[in-house]
Amino acid sequence: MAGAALRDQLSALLSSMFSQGLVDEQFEQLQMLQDEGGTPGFVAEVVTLFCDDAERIIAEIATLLEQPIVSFDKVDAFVHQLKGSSASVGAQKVKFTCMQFRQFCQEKSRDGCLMALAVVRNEFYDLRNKFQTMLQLEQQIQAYDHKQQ
Amino acid sequence: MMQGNIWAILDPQGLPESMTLVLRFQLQSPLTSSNLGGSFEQQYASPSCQIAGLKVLLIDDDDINLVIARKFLEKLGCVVSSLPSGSTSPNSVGASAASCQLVMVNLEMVRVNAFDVALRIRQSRSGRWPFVMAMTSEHNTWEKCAQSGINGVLKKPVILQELKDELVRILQST
Repeated sequence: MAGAALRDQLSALLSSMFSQGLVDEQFEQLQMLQDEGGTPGFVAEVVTLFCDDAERIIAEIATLLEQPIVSFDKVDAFVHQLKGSSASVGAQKVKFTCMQFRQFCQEKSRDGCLMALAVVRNEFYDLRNKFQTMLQLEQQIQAYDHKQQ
Repeated sequence: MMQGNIWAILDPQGLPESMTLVLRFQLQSPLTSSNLGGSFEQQYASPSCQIAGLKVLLIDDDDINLVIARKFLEKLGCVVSSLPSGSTSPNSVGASAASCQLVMVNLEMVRVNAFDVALRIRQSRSGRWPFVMAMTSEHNTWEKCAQSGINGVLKKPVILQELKDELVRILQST
């Protein structure tokens, strides 16, 4: 696919991610840093770290919620961690969902937490898919540009 | 009225080593005697010059924070090093911190008490360096930070401009 078409696709994807509130200015800041600094791979690194981290945390929370007696403090600690990393990366929707999740932890509601976990998982998978597409497009664009030289 | 606080940090003999006054308002650039009427731009060296080349040590157990903070600092021209996670024993921290001008520490580390680290750094330092800056997602930590000898506080997630502003403020405050 020609370079311009790839760029359009990437641009459209990013636009929709911003307009749907999946990512916020923090993510934009990271992108700008990459572009200005000429260090390709920075966003990929951060995004990959975030996705690995989030996956691990979600699994830990799921395990905790399956216990006969739920330790809501531990769940809350994990949610707090996920909220922190999503804020750092600019994953706005996931961040907001974590904030709501913490409410259920405070209320010590297992059902509430299970529901919130399902929402966080969905939001995260959706975002991860978009991130993966974004990274693939960037790689294709780089490969294309490289061939042109 | 001014919503401030004042306390003294005591040295081993129990004598006041330094006094700290905390007031909650934005510090203005220092006025020099020669020029109240002149342009403030001429008063101090460009803040960016003070930041470029600054040696910074990052202490954090959060990979994402580390990567981002390092990127921001390098963008500002700093030379960044970080402790391998888990190696925050007094000796390794002291040695690494001694060769830096700024230590940035995450207050919400899991296995490490950031305030202890900050106190240790402050106690082992001689002279002006290093400054200590804390990163936190909690509000109202200013006083507790100042009591541990922390010179500046950044809210998480870290924003480049705020990092720069806080660096400038710390560097100009002595």
